[in-house]
Amino acid sequence: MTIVKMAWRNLWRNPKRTAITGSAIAIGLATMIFYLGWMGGMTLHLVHTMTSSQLGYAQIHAVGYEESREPELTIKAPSSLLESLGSRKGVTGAAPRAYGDGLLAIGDRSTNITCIGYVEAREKLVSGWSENIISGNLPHGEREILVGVDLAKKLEVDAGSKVVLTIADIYSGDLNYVLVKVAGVLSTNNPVIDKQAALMPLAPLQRALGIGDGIHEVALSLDVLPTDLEGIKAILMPFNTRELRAKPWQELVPVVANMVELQGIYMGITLVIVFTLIAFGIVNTLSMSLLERMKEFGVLRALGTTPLKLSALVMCEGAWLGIVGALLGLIIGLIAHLIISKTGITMGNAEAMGVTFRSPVYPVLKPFDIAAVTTVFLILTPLVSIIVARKAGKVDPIKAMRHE
Amino acid sequence: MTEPVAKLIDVKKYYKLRGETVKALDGVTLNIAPASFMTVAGPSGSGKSTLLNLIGALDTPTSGEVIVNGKNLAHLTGTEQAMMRRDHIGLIFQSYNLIPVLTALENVEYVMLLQGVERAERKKRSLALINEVGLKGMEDRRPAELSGGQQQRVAIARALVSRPSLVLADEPTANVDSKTGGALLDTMAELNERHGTTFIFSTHEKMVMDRASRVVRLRDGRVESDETR
Repeated sequence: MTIVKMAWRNLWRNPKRTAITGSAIAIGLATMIFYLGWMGGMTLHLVHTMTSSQLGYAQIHAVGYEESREPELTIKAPSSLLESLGSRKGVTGAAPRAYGDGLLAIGDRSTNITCIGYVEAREKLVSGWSENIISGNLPHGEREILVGVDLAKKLEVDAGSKVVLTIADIYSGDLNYVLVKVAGVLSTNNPVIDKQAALMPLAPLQRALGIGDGIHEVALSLDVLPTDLEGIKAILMPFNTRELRAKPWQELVPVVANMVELQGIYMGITLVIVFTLIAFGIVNTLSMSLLERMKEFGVLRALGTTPLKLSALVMCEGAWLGIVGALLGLIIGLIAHLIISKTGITMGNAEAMGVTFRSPVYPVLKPFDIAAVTTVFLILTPLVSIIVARKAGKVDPIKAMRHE
Repeated sequence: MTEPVAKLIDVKKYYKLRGETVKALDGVTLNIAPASFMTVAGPSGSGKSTLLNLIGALDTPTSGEVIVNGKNLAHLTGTEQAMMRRDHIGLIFQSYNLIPVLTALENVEYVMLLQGVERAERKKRSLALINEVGLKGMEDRRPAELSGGQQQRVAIARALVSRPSLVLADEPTANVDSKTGGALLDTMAELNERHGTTFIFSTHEKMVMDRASRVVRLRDGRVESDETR
């Protein structure tokens, strides 16, 4: 017979109350596990969508282009850059792009667009646009384009429609009118692409813009985790020169990168709020238990139990409550996670940080996160019991034994 | 001359009750010899329980000295007083006060657990005492499964298991019928003889007083008579 065993038995003297408080702990932990998984899934979905729809893991521009978007700031003679990127360890894809503002018109409908010139063979290693075609096919000739799903809806066009594309030469200002065919419509979950982009082969766009063989951007895919900022920076290092700037996606969209980084803090704050609410329940349960057993505490003191041991008994009861609740919460949380991992959570086309959540979000849980949040519950429960344990330690045996 | 197991020198205990000073004990001086089997008798409010609480280091006097096993209780900290009770004083209460979540055996073992006695030794000594108080075979029952008399026998075993020099029993037969009470007294008298443990009872029952070798009568917090047989 030890104090641990005694505490366990005391816990079940009022099974209803223990069950209620244990359930509160369990629901709290299960909620935290679900929330962790959901946030992890959202972050991964967000980062994956951003990096695979246009951004890539990193981009290289001519110095000043990223800040000003001046079309004249091109990467001149990009073939040598693409060649050295091809041989750089860790680079799995390098997609050259050119950008130009234009107008797309059909009948009496027209809208401003961003033309993106790209090389399909290289682009498919970075953005996966070809996988997102929801209608039609990839452009085969120079006079074929892909349009974003929302742009297609706005202009009421679909694969096979013919539209007039107007692009200005950036140096002479001469307008180039081209009748092009919509080869396909794509949906990327990236509003920049879906709402206002027309994708076309690189060469005709370069000609229309008058930039020769110049390009505005090289988007990269790398053989590291998208969240491994240091790994990305190490690969990019040789490409930061007097003429070029190579930046990881975290620096290109710092808002998203900060959000990912702040996720830990959000989780911490949520954990504090959830546990504070649970702490009230734990203190209430143990206080009621102390009050009901006041006479017994007096007897234990009279028999020679030191105040410290009496406090330890109450803390032990708190610890048991935590173990029971946390174990239950862990099981509920993991079962919920397994179920949602199969079904996903549909976000109803919600948009966040420039990403539309069209497809379901699947939770992502790291074993470390589960262990950490469970450990927090297991440690904090007996710690919260200190409040009641201190009172128990101060029990006056004579007064307590008179208590009925 | 043998050193007394407990000694009270001009002990006073005053309480404030609704603005009035209540003299629970008013200058009590007593020497209690080892292996005594004595009762503190008197009507309700005479100070019997207060006296036992003071000897048992459960309460502190307003003035005077309470010395148990040569130690002045006023000089001990709360934890030291707890250890004094644990190691030297056995307590038997009128309403048994067993721990409901523990079995009879575990209730008896509890004080030894506090003392850090090894598990096998704890069990051996507890079972021996449970047998001695006549509860053989009932060691795994919880208090709720025992009669009042049986619970008080467990309480007696619990008070004696740590081999204290002094057992304080506050009206130990008050909640049992006279036959059971007589049997309990027989058990305690036998243990007193066998182990040389000092027993001090508070009582107002004639049956208990008749069995005692010394009867101290209290009235209004003072010693009215002190009779040794």
